[in-house]
Amino acid sequence: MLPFLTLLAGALTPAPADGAVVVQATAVHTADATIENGRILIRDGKIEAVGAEVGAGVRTIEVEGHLTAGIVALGDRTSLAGEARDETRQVMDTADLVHGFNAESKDWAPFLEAGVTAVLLTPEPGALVGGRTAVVKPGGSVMHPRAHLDICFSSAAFRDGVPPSSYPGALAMLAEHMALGAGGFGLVKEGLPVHLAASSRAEGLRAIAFAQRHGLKGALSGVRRAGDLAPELVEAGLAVILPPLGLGADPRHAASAVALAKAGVPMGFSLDAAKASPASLRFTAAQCIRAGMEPAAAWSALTHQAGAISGTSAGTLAAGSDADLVLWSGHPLDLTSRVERVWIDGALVHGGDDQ
Amino acid sequence: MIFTTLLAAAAPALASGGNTGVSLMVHAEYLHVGPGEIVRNALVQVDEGQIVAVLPGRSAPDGALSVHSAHAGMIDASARTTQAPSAVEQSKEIITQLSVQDAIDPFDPAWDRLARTGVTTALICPPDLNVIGGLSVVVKTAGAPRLEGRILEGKPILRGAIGDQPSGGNSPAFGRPRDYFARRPTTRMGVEWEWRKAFFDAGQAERFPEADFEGADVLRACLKGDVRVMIQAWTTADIRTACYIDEEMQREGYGDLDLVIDAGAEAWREPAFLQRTGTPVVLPPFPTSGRSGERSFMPWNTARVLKDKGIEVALSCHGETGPNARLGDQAGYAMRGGLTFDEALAAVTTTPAALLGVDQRVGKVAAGMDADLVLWNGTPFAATSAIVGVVAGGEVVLQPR
Repeated sequence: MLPFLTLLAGALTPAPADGAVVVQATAVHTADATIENGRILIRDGKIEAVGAEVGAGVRTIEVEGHLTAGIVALGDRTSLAGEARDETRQVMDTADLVHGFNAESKDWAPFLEAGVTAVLLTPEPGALVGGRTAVVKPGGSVMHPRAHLDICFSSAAFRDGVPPSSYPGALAMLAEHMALGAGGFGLVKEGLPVHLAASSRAEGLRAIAFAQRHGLKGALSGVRRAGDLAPELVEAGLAVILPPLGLGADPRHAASAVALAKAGVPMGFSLDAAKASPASLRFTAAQCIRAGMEPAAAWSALTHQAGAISGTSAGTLAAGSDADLVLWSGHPLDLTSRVERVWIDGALVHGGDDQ
Repeated sequence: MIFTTLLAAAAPALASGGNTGVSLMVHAEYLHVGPGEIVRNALVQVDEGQIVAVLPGRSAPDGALSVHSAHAGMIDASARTTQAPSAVEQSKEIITQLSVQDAIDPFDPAWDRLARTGVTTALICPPDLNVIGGLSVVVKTAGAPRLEGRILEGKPILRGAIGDQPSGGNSPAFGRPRDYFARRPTTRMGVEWEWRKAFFDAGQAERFPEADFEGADVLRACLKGDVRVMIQAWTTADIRTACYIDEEMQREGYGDLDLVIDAGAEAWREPAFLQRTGTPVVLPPFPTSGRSGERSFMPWNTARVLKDKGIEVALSCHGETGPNARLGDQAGYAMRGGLTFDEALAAVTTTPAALLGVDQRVGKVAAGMDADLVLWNGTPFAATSAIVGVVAGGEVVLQPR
């Protein structure tokens, strides 16, 4: 899909001699500002400069709408098919999920349609250590082949007839692996972040305590009411990945997200094991805002904060980042706005044919 | 909760009345400070989660919670809140080194329900799916939001079971075993063998260090009496087996187990074994039909029969919080079966406190003890009385109305 689109875009927009182009939009949203008639200078797939005046003399594509960084989905298994879980061992600390990534899958199209330009691939629960996560671009390249070691603190890690069968047993087994420090555990000791999958608050507390005990950095993922754990999360310096909020979601879940934002816990949203559509991310942010979250906090949870949790610059519209951009018909947090165009690495991959 | 805030706000006013450092006052016409000890018109002063003073012959001052009767917060020595299979490691049938503490959910609404029925301290054991399931933990049911702040340091208790529960669901291996269920005991005698083998192996390993194994140190601590062994045994056959193991370890010179029988519904049938080994019993809730767990039979006078034989008895509601099954109800049922009021009170306060080794902090109403109080609108345990208020760790968890 992507090579084809790249070729197409290439055909439609003959690259200037130095490979640079400026995209100018009615409004450009960076992490901390909105620039009216802002300009983004793109060279070789990277953002070179952002501002009202940048790139004078460079070929300019003028578009109407709001231009933002792409949305980051933290936790998904699209294109992995049956490759997201390996049952040969309960501890797969040396397995890299990126080997299951299929850029050609047609399932990436809805991501682009929803303005998602980076996805954290996470293993399917079912093992104590499911492997190492990866950050990929929908239908495109690998941003980060080894973002976290995934450790499962939820009861989903217990498979009938295979140790461990219990929370105390799981913690003992993990402590043993940490003490040995081989494979992925060795990497974690050297600073590879952890992706701590959990579901209940009690599991979340155990995961946080484990991270603190071993001085680990990373994110707690999957605890919908993680807001109740905010003090512990702040103390441990961990981020949080929250499952998306659907229609009719328990109001305590949105309140929990608001509490986390108020406590200053870095946060992003997952697609909850690919159960939710990519479009649900923006809907989730809207639910959080309705529950009292600052719009800026909700937007950063969708974009650059989520990117930071993934260990990449995904979701950041700033000089030096990949030119992964989304053009919206209106304000991106207005649910009536729609995605008009998506660029990945400076190439138009969705919408628009007038470049 | 709102009431608690109001009370807290009232505290400075109380303090200015001369009672400095008193955040809560409870007045009871009849205060049962412990079994056999009544203080009339007592004023209990509480601060920072502890009882500061118990003053006799007072009238209820403004701002005090005023009730007919009060006694110490109750203790359920078999509260069974953490019973999911994920709370016990089943990949080995003998687990001694792991604690159920790592499986407890501090957000479980069961804690609040227990506290509001007057149970302010509870022993949490691993579920009895293993022969030996691991170490138990004593927790307060209310107070600190995190478990660490609610744990009471008592005597360590290793938990296991004799009967059909540890073998239930296991199946013998046909052909090549695929998982650990194929190795686990499938019968009562298999369960009994696992117990004896565990202690025998641990004892042997002391003589032959090369035979040592993970968790053997806990078993040896049990043989030395440093760790208490609590065994679920409903039927008289299983209670007998537990006592035989205790006696066998003594006879063979391995040590002397500090044994407690939990859920001893049929302890009344052969109390001689319990007398002989000095083993206390935690009784399960009284069954309305007579039949209790594992087809055991438990009559109303079970507690009376055991007390008459000099056997210590603690009552339990197994964490039940529904009407007619609560721990306060169990004390009433035990009285209906012949226990005196003081014996019934002891069976839900001082006896379990001593069993769990936490009697320095809970079980009685006295200065320096935890401020855990159960407030009644009439005589405690009477069918016409109800628990109208509960104070746990100095906090009002159920406001008397």
